Amino acid sequence: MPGERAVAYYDEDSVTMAVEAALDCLRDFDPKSVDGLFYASTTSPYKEKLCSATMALALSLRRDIRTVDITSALRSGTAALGFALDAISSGRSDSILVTASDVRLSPPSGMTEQALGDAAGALLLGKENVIAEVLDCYSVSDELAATWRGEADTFIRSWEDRMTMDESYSKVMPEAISGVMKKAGLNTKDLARVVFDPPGDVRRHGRVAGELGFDPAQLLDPGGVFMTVGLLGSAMSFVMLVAALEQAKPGDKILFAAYGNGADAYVLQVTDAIGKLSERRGYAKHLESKGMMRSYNDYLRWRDIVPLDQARRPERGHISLAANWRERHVDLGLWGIKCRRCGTPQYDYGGMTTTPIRVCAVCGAVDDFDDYNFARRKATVFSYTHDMLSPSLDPPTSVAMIEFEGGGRSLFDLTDRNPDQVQVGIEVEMTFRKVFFDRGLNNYFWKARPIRC
Amino acid sequence: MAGSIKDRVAIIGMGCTRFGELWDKGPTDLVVDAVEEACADAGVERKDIEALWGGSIFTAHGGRFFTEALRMQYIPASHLVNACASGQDAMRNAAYALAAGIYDIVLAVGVEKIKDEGMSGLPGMDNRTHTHAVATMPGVFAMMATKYFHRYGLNPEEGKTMLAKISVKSHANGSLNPKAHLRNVLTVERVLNAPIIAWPLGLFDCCGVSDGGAAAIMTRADKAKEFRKDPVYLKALQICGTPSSGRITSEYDYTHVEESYRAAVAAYEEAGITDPRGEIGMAEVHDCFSITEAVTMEDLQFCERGRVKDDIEAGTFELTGDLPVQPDGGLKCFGHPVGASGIRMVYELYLQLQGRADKRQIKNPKLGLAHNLGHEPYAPLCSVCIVGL
Amino acid sequence: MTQPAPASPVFWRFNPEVFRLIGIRCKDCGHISYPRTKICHECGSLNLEEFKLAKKGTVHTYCVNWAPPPNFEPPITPVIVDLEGGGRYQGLMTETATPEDVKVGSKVEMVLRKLNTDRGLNVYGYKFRLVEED
Repeated sequence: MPGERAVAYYDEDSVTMAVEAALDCLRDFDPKSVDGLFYASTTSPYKEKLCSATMALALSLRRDIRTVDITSALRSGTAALGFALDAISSGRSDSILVTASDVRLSPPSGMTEQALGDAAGALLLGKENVIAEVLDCYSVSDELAATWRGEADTFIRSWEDRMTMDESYSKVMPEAISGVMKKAGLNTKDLARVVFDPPGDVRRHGRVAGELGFDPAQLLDPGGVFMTVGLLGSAMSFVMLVAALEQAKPGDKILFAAYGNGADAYVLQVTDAIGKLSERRGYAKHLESKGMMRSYNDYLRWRDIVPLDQARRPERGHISLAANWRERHVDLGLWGIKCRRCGTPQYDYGGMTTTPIRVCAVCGAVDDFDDYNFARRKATVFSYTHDMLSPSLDPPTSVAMIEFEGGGRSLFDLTDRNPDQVQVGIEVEMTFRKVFFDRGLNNYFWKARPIRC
Repeated sequence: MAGSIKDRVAIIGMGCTRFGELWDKGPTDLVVDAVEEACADAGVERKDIEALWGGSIFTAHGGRFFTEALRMQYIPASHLVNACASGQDAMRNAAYALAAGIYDIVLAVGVEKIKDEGMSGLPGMDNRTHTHAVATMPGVFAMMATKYFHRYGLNPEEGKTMLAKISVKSHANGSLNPKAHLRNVLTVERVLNAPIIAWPLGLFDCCGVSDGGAAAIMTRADKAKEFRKDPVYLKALQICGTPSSGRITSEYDYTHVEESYRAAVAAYEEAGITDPRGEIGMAEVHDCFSITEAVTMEDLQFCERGRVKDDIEAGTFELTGDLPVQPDGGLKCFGHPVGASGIRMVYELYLQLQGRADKRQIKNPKLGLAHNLGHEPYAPLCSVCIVGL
Repeated sequence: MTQPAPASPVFWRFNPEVFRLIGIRCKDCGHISYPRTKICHECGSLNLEEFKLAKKGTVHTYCVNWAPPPNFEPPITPVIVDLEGGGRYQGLMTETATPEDVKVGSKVEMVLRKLNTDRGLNVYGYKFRLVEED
């Protein structure tokens, strides 16, 4: 199949990618102003453990917020969006962050696997300075699932496309889209942009759009997204909307809809505030800075579809939930300290033990610190190595001692790197990744990544 | 400064097993073999030993491990776990007990049985929350090499060649040592073409993993001559702990090891040495990696900062040079069973001083220095021991 | 470090003990030590010879453990047995209908059993069962 698809790195999953998207989304916004975090995914790493609670720490959100995981449907993202809108318009919350992320799997080398892509999108909903207003919404519920996964399934299952598309997508999407347009009193020509996700067969999208009376020029071409990134599961609609917003002008009306056991449709109106929003990586910049994988075999190992030969290396100890919980702000939130006496910022995850820092490493002051966050700080590489002895799903293990801007130094794994391009002095930023897995639990932490865009 | 150990205690017997992949030797075998050799060398029996200190980081668990192996009848026993300085820390504690006049004859022993684990290399860095960067030991030392090259303007080839000469020299010495783990001779070219372990360190820049045991029987200086005519006296034994600031503050330059430097300064003061390069006749330093030995030469003030390359080129540290380093092959060739290494280093200096170093004998050796570096260069615990007749 | 795997040299070195019940007898004082040791437990001598333990003996002491380690079905009955001809052996009882069947002085004999499975390899060793009275 021609085209390219996005592949999550071995240390990424739907949670880490959701954090990445959320960090981009929250640029120049105070995380403490967020009243809720809704995480949407069909590929949550847990059947019973809240991912949004973990993410809330990574993003340094408040404790008294609503965190909820919304799963099981490809339109989990737009469903979560609906709940967020309800929460805000009811007055219960002022600001809600919604993420949609997926890493879906299909049997190796098949057509579906080639068509899929891994991605995450994030939207911040609020009341003031909105860049797009939600004018109306309409939802349709539908029992027929074109694709599904059961309790024990790793790979997506599906029924014959023709049947499911005829009876589901081709019925449900038009119903939702025309439903919302009627509610909003709009006809097709009023819409500057039409954004809705395609099903497995991208041509269906064009058929539905045509039957609804849209002009191809109005559509955010899913084919383009599909050919360059892939079918992104519950993230597809969000990623398409972000792509559309990057090109939108004040006054544009956007139709936004997503499919999955039914459909959710929204009409948005872009405001003047869109021009004032600070720059984000979003869709275009991320695509521009893509890195290519070396081989398909890497993908099979990264997704644990084929087993890895065991390295002759010591076993690592078990996860201690107690230690992890105690250090959750340091490890998940990347919180360090700034000494009140000498002013030196410091970050320490603990050499062989655990933190927090009680004694300043520079002046010896005890417990005289302010909290200081490192998650958004850039850094430069002070020294590095590519370690062949340490086992890795993408050898070599690259590690760097980095120096944060503003002060502070620490040793971190490097990720998303081309070993040949790592040098003393290059700029890196911090990224939230999965670093360990033990008895059903994921251990998340931060790594350093050479800045690409 | 606190008191001095200089000339207050002496070593009257030492033993050391062969180091290597000793599949058929268990931990007990290594302890018994080393201690029996030391007792025979000292002319004492196990039952004469009044207290023991044992160093071991992977193998032993508590003083009981040693008393059980040796069937020591109800004597006090302590277990030192201090990374690569465990062996010298065992000697240090034994020495202070002697100097305090509490005991007459004591034992310091070190052992490690690492090859029972079935793996390559030592455990990597890891902490309780699994958030530590997953570099291995070669990895964190490799970063020192990268920074050293960068700071002193060595391109990778120049830097790696400098390091290669260190390993070549150690292998030449190790080939003369029947107890060494590795006894093959290397060339610079072979070292440069070896597979990379952690860039820029290659296979022959890294010491291997070995089993082994070493022991020292010690007594007070005033009793030493009752046992032999040539006891070896401790002139200094210093340990420098670490605040572990180097990993998290900008002050650490990653081209030297502060704790090695300070341990040496304290040891030189304790021993009354004012010209280290001139007064130290031979040295066993912690060459876990070739870069460690290079930087240690500067930390011990054997040469100026950034200038060790000149001395390496000049052959200063060869067996026949001005200041032989690793006459027994060092960690690189003799091996590095962690708890035993510190004592094994003193074993070589001891033999050299008594003229028993056979093919490796240095002519008229003066003072000998043994150095250990435990943990990582940015947060190490270092020991320096100086011995002489 | 972690527990040695059954493939480890530790197990390999203990094969004579585990499968052939080889201990040592001190030539100076006659004491029997098992597993093998380099130094006699009793008198400290190094003058030792190999000694093969008998498979029958009497129970010196025992306990009944209702909270055993993982992978063991409670109750388990560890015993310390004085073997015929000398030497002591510590092991688990097997084939007992009820724990009360075991008493100090009970006659027992060794049987080879699978003790555990670890990382794909079985660990074998001896357990004891009561000798059937004729």
